[in-house]
This record gives sequence, structure tokens and C-alpha cells, in this order.
Amino acid sequence: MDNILEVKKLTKKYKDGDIEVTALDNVSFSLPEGFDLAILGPSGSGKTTLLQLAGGLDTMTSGDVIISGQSIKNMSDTEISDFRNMTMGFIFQMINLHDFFTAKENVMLPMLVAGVNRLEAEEKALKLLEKVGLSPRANHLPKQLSGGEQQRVAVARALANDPKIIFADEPTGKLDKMNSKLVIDILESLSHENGMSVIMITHDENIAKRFSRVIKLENGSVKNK
Amino acid sequence: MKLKDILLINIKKLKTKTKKALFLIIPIFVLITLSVILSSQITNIQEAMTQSVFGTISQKFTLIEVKTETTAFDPSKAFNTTSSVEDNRFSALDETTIGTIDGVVSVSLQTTLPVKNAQTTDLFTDKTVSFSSLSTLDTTAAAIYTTSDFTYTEGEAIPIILNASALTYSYEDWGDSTEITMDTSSITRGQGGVAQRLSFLKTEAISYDKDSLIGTTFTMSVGGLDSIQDYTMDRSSGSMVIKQLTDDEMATKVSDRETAISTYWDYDKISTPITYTFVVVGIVDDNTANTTYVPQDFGDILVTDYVAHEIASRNGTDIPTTVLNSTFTGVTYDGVEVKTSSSGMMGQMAKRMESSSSTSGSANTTHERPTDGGLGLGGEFGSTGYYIPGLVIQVDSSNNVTGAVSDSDVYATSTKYGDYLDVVIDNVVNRTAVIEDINNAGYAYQDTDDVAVFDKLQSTLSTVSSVFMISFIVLVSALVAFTMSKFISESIREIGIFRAIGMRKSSILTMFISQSLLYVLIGYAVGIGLGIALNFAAGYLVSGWFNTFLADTVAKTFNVVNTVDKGVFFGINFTSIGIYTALLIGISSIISVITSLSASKVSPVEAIKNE
Repeated sequence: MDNILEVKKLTKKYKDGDIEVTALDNVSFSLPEGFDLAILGPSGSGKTTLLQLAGGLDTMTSGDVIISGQSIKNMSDTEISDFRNMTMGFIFQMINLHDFFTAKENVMLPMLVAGVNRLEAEEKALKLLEKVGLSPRANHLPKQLSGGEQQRVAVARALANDPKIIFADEPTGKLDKMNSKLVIDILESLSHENGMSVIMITHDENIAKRFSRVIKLENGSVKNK
Repeated sequence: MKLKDILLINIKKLKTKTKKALFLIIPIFVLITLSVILSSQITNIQEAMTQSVFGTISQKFTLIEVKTETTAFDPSKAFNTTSSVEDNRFSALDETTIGTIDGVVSVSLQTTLPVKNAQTTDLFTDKTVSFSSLSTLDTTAAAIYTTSDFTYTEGEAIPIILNASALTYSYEDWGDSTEITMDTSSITRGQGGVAQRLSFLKTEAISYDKDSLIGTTFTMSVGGLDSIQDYTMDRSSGSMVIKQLTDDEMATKVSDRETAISTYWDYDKISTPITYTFVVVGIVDDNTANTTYVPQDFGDILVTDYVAHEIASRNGTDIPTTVLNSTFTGVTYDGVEVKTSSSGMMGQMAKRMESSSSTSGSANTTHERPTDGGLGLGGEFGSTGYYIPGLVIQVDSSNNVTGAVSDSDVYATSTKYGDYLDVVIDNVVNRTAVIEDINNAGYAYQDTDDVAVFDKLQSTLSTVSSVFMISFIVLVSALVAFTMSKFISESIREIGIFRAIGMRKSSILTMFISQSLLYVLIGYAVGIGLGIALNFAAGYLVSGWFNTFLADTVAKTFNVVNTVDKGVFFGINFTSIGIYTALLIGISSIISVITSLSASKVSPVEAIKNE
């Protein structure tokens, strides 16, 4: 079985004034295709750093990340931007929808970045919004949606270009229990439906149990295998 | 990402974040509105000045009359025997020197013709007008005063530009007496008519209508013998006693002169002037030379005829050198120039005598005297020389008389000198710069305050225009830089989101540059529309101000009272608008690129962390 994600001796160090901080220390793991991964750990353990490096949002100090057989270590900014657009989807704790776009337009955005025709993008965005149960709210601005609804739009956006991996950084962190369950259920069903892998950061053990693989991070290192 | 989609993002942002966008749009449209109004009104004011003032006298201000210092009477140079080079008068060399100055179209030497007794009775009924000075003027300088072709054509009336100061007539007013005593304690010998006028000699202006006079053809006589002075002046008693001559005394003087002249000339011939037909093409009322102008190509012809007439009047008897420049006077020729002694005392007195004309028929004011006499400078000055019109006396380098010239072409082939150079410039706005260059070349000239009024206004307008343009550049740069920097710093999260979903740095750059230019162009479009609309309102205000300005200042100085039509002030300076447009787009583009580069460098991680 091919791995959708391989993390090899991934290290991230940065300077905080005069002090060198190791956010991630020699982390290695792999995730087969179709499998999901939950990353557990206390605050400051390096979970977000790992997700950012794996998603190509930040640069690594050493090591490598291989996604769908492609190493992102030596990709140029343009290459990694294009790769991220077509291969990955992101869901953030802070939701991060554009406040000047409607729900539909927010979902269209990754497709427009990819150069998809506007009409096609609109059609697909509406289908995705229907899947997350938000067709009636397609033309509403984020400020007109509840937190749960906004996060569902973010889920639809993350799925826009049929990514192979979805990176979710505590997507239910700001949501109540009901909306949290709703979002996780949607993520779970859509990922299985489309064969995509979900990598989620969470501090909730109950959510982590729903994932086929779990990594525990502490002080930038993996504590379990 | 497609550019069209990037632009749609910016339009979307504009719709939802309009208030923020106005921070850039409003100042831009204000600047553009101001630039339209200011540049248009400055041009309109300059056009109005051209129409109302310059149109009337702009040509006048393209003429600069440079003069030598020797035009002031210098008593030490009475009976002047120095050369014109020593006197530092102008020559063809000075024409060449000044002709090389930038902005100078033509330079011509104003040469005073060595002729006397130019007069006419044709211009005004019962009045003789005398022209104490005839000078040549080239066609370029003449264009300042007339639209007619100022050239000599054989067989046609010769164009002439009259000097208004010649349109006077002089007469003697003795009242009931034949003798006048004057207190001379304040008169300084040699100062001519400066200290005190001879009270019985009157001069009155002849009223004339300029438009009626122009086009008038008249006959002018040149030459003939001087009027004989019909009075004596005696200072021997300590005061000046001026006494009219009796008829017998006058007759004796006339007879004595005829006898003397007949020795060498046919008296009737020499006392008959030569005549020409002229047509008035212009009238000068303010030139400093107080001279009447004839075409440059006619000057040599007139003097040649004048001299030829004298030569032809000789009766064949050799004229001894002992009588030349003593008993008989004329002009001198030293092998280089034909010279009058106009800067000397004799010349000054000669001029005063010449300016007298006779009228007839006025009771108690006029005394008819025989006019075919000599230059009787008796009394105070004691000379009894008779002026012979056209007589050219040859002198050597030491000013010793060697004989009478018998070549009528002597003047045409001589070197010409003059006290005035007529400098015509290409544009009145260059006047100050040209004058500075003339001064730097060693020729003294200074404009009167009247001209400075225009220069000041012109330079003020230019300064305002320049200052505004510089301010425009600075303000646009600062505005775009400041507002775009602010937009970007407030858009870090937004940039992070775009980057996270895979938007390239180049697309981020394009997005912010196009956002900046979009807002600038909106401000520009509104500013142009508003500027053009408000320009009409501004035009009303400026036209009112301008006509008041004309009446309060310029009209008083230059007698120009024409108001300017309001329509002039509605003009729009599209050239300036084009320049401001180019500046706006150029500067905005550059500043947008510079500020947007920082946006493209924002890391998606930092952007998300910034939340």
C-alpha cells in the first residue's frame, strides 16, 4: 500500500531572541493512503508546527515531507503553492473565511486559484455546499453565518479541488458540542467517500479515537509509534 | 490565477470595504480636481492676458530698445570731435553680438539720418509739422508698430512711422513787446533748455485721430536752408535780454546769407528742399528715441539724394577749406563715418531752432519772418556759420578740414553708428531672460516697473504651477504609499488565507497592485469629471477677478480697458491634464509595486498566527 504522507526526521528550529527553540525534533512517521491520522498533544508540543510543515505552509530546518510520492523539501514557493492548491485542503481552528466573499465564493476560491472556469467553479461550489447542508446559505457572507455554519463552509472549501489530504488544525476548537460532532461527521463521511486522508490536530481523546492512526507529541517529539 | 478573477476579487473587496477604499479614492479625486482647475485657469489667465494686454501691446514688449550712454547731453563734448567708437556708440558689430543671444529674432541699428529741416504742411491745416529726427527701422522691428510692409518701393509712397512728439507746432509769443528780459542766475551755460525755457517760445500738441492719420499720404520736404533766428540774446548785462530783430535787420541777415552762399552755390537751388511722398503706416507714442522712422532701405537713398542735391547746386567755384566748418557748416566725413555734431552744443541749439514751425493768421501770437535764412546763432553763442543742406566736409584723422566731398554715395558707403539698437525677441515671456543676457553681454538695459508687472504675474503663475505639480507628485506618492501600506498591514490574515489555499506570491502582488490602481483610477475618473464641471464655476469667479485686476492695475498703467470675455476662462488645459494623468498613473504604479512586494512576502504561517 502506498503512503499518502511520509514524514522523515522532520526538525524545526527557530530563534526566540537569543534562545534557539526546537519546535519539532526528528519526527518521523508515515500514513498509508485512505487512512486518517490524529495528532494529539498538549499545548506547545509541536502539533501545529508539524501540520504546518507537512502542509508546506512553513519551511523545515531539516528532514523531509513526502506527499503522494513527491518531496516538498526542495520545491520552490510557486511549486509548493500549486501543489498545495491541488493536493491539500486546510481547515483552521479560526475558520479563516474571507469576510468579503459569500459562502459560495469562499468555496469557489481554490478552484479559481487553480484556473478553473468561473461557471464550473460556481456549479461545483454549490454541490459542495449542498453536501455540507448549506445550499440555502450560499449567498450569505460569513458574518451572516453561525460558527458551525462557517466551519462547514470551510470544510466545503477544503474539498474544492478534490485534495488527497486534508489538514485540519483543531477544527472544532471554537465550536460547541453539537456543531463539533456535525463537522467531524461530515469530514469523516466525505473523506471516506472520496478516498482522501484526513490529518487532524486535536486535544480531544474522544475525537482522536475515531481515527485509524494516532500520534502523540510531546516537546516536539513523537511519544508513541 | 486569472487576472480577471483577481480584478473581481478587488471589486468585491471594494464593495464590502468601501469606507477603507475611500481613504485613497477621495484624496486622489481631490488632487485631480484641483489639478484640472488650477492648470486650466492658469492657462486661461495667460490667454486672457494675451488677449487683453499682450494682444494690444505684446508686440511692443517683444521690442527692447538698447541705448548708449552718449544719448545724454554731455557739455564736455560740445563741438564734438571724437569718433563714434570713442563715444561708444553702436555699430554693425553690436548687431552681430546681440544677435547671438537666445530668444533674439532680429537686431538692427537705429541710424539717425544726417539730414535737416524735414517738414510737412500736408498733415494738418495751417500747421507745419517738423521732424527733428529721422531714423531708419528694419522690417522686423517695424512690425511692432505697423502691420504694413515697411519697405521702400520706387515710384510708391514711402511708408513712414510718425513719432507723436513731432505732432506739435511751435510759435513765438512776444505778447505786446519786442524785448524780454530773463533772470539767468539759475541757468548754467551749456545745459541747453534744461534749466529754464525761453518763455516766448511756445510748443503745443496738435490733436489728431490715430486711425484717421494712418493711411494719409503727404509730401515731406527735406533740406532747404534753416530759418533765420529773428531775435538776439544778450547776457552782457548779467541777465538775458532777448530782443526781436526789426524787419530791416532781418532783411539784412537774409541778404548777407544769400550773398555768402551765392559765392559757391546756386542760391535758389540750394535753398530749395528735396521732396518725397510718404504714407503714414504707424504712430509711435512712447519710444525713447523720439524719432520718426523711415524704412532702412530708404535711408541711404534719402541721404544720397540730399548730398547729390548739394553737389548739383555748386556753381563750380572751388570751396576753400578755410570756409568749411566755419562760414559754411554741414556734416563731416573722416573716411569712415558721416557724422553730424548732434551731441555738441551746436547740434542741441540747431535742434531747438528746427523744432519751431510757423503758423499763420493768429493774432498776437505769431510773427512772420523770412524763412529762407541761415542758422543765425548770433547773440549769446556768437556763431555766424550758415548750414548748407547736403554739404559733406572731408576731415582728416586730426579733424582738420581737407575739402568738400563731391561723391553723393559717400553716406551709402560709410560705416553707420547709432545710439539705439532695436532688439526684437521671439516671445514676450522671454523678455526678462533676454534682458539679462543683454546685460551680461555688456549692454546696459533695465526695464521699467510697468513691464515688471507682467513679468511678476507671469512668473507667479509659473511658480504656482510648478509648486502645485511638485506637491502633486509628493502627495500622490505619500498617499499611495501610506494607504497601501495600511491596507496590506490590515490584510495579513487575508493574505495568509490566500497563500494557504495555494495562491502564488505573484498573484498576491498582482492583487494588491491592481487594488491600488483600481482605487486610484476611480478617484481619477471622479476627479476629472468634477474638475471639468467645477472649472466652469471657477471660470466665472476668475473672470470677475481678472477684469477687476485689469481695471485696478494694468488699465491704469497701459490705458488698456478692454475686458475679457468670460468664455476664455472656461477653457480646459487638456495637455496639462494629460501630464497629470501620466504622473498619477506612473507614480501610483511604482509605489503600488513597492508596497505590494511586502504583501507577497508574507508567510502563510505568520499570517495565520497573526489571528
